[in-house]
Amino acid sequence: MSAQHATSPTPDSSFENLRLELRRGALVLAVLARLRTEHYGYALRKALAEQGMDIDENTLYPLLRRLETQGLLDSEWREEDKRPKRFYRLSAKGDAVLVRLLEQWTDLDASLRRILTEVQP
Amino acid sequence: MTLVDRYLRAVRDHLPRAEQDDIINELADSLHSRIEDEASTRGRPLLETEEAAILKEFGHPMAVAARYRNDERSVTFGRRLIGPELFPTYMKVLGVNVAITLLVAVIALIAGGGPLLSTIYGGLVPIAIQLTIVTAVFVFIDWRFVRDPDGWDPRKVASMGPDVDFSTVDGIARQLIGPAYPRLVKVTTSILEIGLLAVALTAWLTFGMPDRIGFLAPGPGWRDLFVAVTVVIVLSLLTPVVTLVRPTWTRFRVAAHVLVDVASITIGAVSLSLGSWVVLADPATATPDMVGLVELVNGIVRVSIAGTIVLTAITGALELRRLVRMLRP
Repeated sequence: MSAQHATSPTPDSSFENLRLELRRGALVLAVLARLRTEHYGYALRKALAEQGMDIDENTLYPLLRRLETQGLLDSEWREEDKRPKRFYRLSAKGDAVLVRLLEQWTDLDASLRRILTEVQP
Repeated sequence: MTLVDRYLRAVRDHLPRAEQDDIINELADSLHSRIEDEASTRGRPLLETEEAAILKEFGHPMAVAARYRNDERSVTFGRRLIGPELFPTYMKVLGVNVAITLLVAVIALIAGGGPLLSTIYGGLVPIAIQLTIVTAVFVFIDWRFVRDPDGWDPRKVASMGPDVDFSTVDGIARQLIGPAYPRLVKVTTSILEIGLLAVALTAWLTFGMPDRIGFLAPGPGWRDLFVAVTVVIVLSLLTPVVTLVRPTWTRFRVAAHVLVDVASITIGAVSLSLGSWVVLADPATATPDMVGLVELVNGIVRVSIAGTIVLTAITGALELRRLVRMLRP
């Protein structure tokens, strides 16, 4: 058995890697879209989960920071329930980017549906 | 300090300094909100084990902090051996080790005056050994503690505190083992030191002064310092013995370390000035290969002694500063 063969990913791990790759872009869209309304991190996570988009904290918070660094989100610290919370909202630039991303998503979705319809037996 | 506070302080240790407060405040809110939600669902405050389960699900402090560094570099050979969580620390430890070795090789070349090629070879051997050992240690830590969810317990997580540099293996061990770390280290290192030094002393007294080893014989750097080295090994052996029996004698321990360090540096310097540690037993019948081997062995020993002097001077200076602070009224 060659070393390469011995370290080949299993079908399960291949599926998991592809699933995560597929989800990554969709998560950004979901977060941007949800932040058209202001949310703090924990509330945003719960709101996404309630709509079937589970995301763990270790993915969500770094993602929020990256999107803010790119200028797509604005944030401010405010006290609520006796605790400081960081509230995020879509910036003007973020809104423009979201509109274009949604167009891309719609086009991709339409293309994929056509492809899947053609190849179905 | 609560379990969550301790966990968050441990995460903070691994975050970029400029972003620490911001990230920790946000994570604190998230964790407390989650714990409150759970408590509200159960209708009672959470037990420590239940809080620990939430923290465990949150992830190891190193893994959590790594997500904020935007640094996905890792060591991969077929599969990932050292992940992004440990990679920056791994590079720092390796970098410091290699830099010290190179510095030592340069000092050995200037101070020892040996042939260039044998000194370079003498420097490459310890670099290769360090690369192997440091990589193996980090692969083990990554596999056992970071990847394996059962490899760590949130209740044993300890923060380094604001004054401790985390870029060392010692720092990682302190993080992984928790509050029992200092006591465990004292006992373990004392036993290890006694074992190693006892073996070294026995071997040194048994085989330390041979007339010849094959076509090699001890040179002046070895022969003339036999008694002095024996005395230093015996002195070194006494320190961990006293530490085990009287662990509170901190001043004695530090003073003994300083004394042994000074003696080791002196012997090392004298040894370097004497030049060669092995010579040809029969120079008249020596082949070029034998001469080359003698040069190589002397090159490796020269680099090792210079390295020991540099490291001992650093640790000795730190111990001396500690002793002065202890004796200050």
